[in-house]
Amino acid sequence: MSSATPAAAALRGVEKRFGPTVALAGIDLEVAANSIHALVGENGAGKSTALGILGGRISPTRGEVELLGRPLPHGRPRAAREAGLAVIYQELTIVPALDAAANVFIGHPISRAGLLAERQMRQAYTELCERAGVARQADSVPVGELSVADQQVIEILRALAFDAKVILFDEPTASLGISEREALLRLMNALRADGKTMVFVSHNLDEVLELADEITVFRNGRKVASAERSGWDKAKVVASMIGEEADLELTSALNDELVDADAAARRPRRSHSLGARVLEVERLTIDGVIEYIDLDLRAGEILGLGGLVGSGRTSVLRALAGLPPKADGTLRIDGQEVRLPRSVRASRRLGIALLPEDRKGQGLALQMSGVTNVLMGDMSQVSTFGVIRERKARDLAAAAAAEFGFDPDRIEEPSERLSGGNQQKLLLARWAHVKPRVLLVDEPTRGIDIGAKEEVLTALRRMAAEGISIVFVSSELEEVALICDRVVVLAEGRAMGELDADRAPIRVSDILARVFTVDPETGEQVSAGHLPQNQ
Amino acid sequence: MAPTRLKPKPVDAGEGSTAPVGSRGSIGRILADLGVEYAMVGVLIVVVIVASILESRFLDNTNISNILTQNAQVGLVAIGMTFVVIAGGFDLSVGGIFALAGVLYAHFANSLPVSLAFVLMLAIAVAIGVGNGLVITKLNVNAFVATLGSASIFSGLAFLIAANGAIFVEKPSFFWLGTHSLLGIRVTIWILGFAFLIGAFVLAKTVYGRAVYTVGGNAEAARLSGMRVGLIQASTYVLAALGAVLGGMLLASETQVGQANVGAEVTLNAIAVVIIGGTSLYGGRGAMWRTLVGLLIIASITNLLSLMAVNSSVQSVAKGGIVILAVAFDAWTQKRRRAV
Repeated sequence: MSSATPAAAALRGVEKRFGPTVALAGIDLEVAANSIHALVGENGAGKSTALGILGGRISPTRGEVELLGRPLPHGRPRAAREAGLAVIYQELTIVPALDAAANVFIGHPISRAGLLAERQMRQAYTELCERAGVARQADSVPVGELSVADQQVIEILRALAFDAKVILFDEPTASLGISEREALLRLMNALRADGKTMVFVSHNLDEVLELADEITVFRNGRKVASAERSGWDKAKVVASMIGEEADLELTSALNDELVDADAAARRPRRSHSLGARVLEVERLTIDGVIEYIDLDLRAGEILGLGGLVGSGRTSVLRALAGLPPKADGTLRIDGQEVRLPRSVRASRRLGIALLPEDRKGQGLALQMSGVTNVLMGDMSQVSTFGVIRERKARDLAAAAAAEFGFDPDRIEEPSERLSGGNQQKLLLARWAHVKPRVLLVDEPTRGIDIGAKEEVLTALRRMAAEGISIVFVSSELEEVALICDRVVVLAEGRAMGELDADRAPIRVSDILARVFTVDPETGEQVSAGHLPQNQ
Repeated sequence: MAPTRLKPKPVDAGEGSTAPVGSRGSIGRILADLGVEYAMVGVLIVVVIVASILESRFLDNTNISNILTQNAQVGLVAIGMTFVVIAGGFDLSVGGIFALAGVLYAHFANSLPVSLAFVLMLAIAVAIGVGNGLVITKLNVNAFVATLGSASIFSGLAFLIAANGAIFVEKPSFFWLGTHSLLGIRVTIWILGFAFLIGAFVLAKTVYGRAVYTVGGNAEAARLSGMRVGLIQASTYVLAALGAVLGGMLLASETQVGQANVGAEVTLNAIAVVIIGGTSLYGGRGAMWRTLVGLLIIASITNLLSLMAVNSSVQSVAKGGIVILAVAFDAWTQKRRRAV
């Protein structure tokens, strides 16, 4: 990326204020043509704002945006698009009811005399697929029925259809399984070879290091470092993301392990002993989703479900939480056989609670205060004859949340004003307050920054030490390896084996080895993550 | 989208170079929030001032009593509607229930003691509300369509029962509710006042009220935390039906006749009152005092236009315009919140 080549896109002295809050403080950024540029940083560091300004979605308070050497009018996504820029947002903009070809040409359909030229569009779509080296979706299949990964490919093809020169990606792999992730990275590499320039935001440092030609790190609204790939390793990226002084006992163990393979043996271990067997499931089956999964869980134990997106991890949690689809199998609580719960309330009666993966959609009532969000699982302690005692409610909620490092002074703020990490702490506090026997945790660290991650994982450890049994699911397999006492590895809806930290430290590579088992018939690697979209 | 706002980071507080460059909240921002929050109170004050300037009679005791009496029925319907809207629902059947209640009350009063007829009507209100609630939560019929349909059923029943469109009642005890006064204040106004107080208390102070907000704010989160979401949603339709039945009975008592054709305007008016007060159509946000403010705004404007002898068709146009403005304001505040 010599400075002689003109930048494909650039921010010059860009500042962005939201009211009194400075989201970006005077950023200069140059994206070299025909390169892949990664923006990394914790939540709120400014990387997404920078991406939004580049894409024309957010107007900067001050400063200039340049695209292919020409200044771009502020806050006009359409102008940015006409200048040759496309943005692939995390929340996809496909129309679920239309088929792939129709989606690719949305906004710019090929037409003749005002009539849609269906055949030309299908043909143009086929050519685009060939050029990009991706599979062509069948005609007249609504894209809503495709996987998220395939939908994302359609968005990318749409960018290619209007010949975008610069493509921005906002966390493109966040909702993809490993094999889909690889496919996307291959596609991005192919696009670079085809002369495109790409900028992407990602929390996954492995893919950043694998893909990017240049990496820019943001912290607290400032650009703290920007350098070519060769100047970085993971430890350096993490260090500049979080600053030097952060105290991260648990997660720093992960960073050590990147450098030193033996560090796994030195990671902090459970200090309490496990209690009696609390929960046993046998032959847990959901038609077409999971098959004959056996699990057992002791008091105070953290059991991980290792595996990829689509391996059936979330389905197991949903079955135990009483959510559809209907599951079959045998469930024993404290050795007593009980019916598999068919409703959330039935599951709660068994002492099982679910911390759902979608914090905003399924976890919090966003407009309501932290007090309500913490206590909505159980208000009996703070009410008399159905009347809420406000002071008591506030104090109890604040105390429960403070246990997880939540600032008690913010407990009355509407939850929508809180960062993802703080929102997650409220949800943890909700269940810590209820004290279930078994807590099912789905992706508790998704989209939250490293400091909050540390607090969440530490909190789960502490809940386990207090005797709560936890079933832990995370796409960050490092975290699974880090905090679980045992891991049952799932792939394609089946249990592929079990790892026990009491026998040997659990490594990510051990989990992956069981995920990608070799098919005995064909000798080929069975790729996981291709189950129907059940999560 | 990831939040673009900086979070306060205590970790960095002591360090110069990476200290947070922004903070949440400032006087300007807080004032702006307060402005949005209490905009409708401001509107009410302006309306009252303008009205008292334009019409010297506006603030007379008799006129105020008139305003309240004339709007008490809609007020009662709006109190129930507030619960429905905050729980994320919508009830288009209140007008039909309102008309049916007047007719049925008159019908029963002619053959039963009035007090028994009154109690019977409350039981019917519960049954009607349960019916609406079950169709919406158990049969999973969209609330708009379900209550649009049931509205037609109720108003059809009202016309069936009142063969000539009206049932007259001669008993003096039937008139008491709608025409008498206690301590110099009309019984109707007492009922409205108590209903507001009880409604406000239940909504703001009880576990049930909080559950209504939570279900409206995020039904899925409420379900996953173990709440009976369907039951809570259904219960709000019972409250709406109770409000509509009370309102219909008050009107019948005041006019001494149960009429089948009185419900048409009630639905729009009640929804207008709730929305103008600032309770959000998106669910999860709102308050009972807002409904009172909305009622007073609508009541004052209608009364002023009547005092100034403005044609009632024009009043109808004005009311429609105000409702649309109020919904636009709701959408704007929703967007503004998201932008922060």
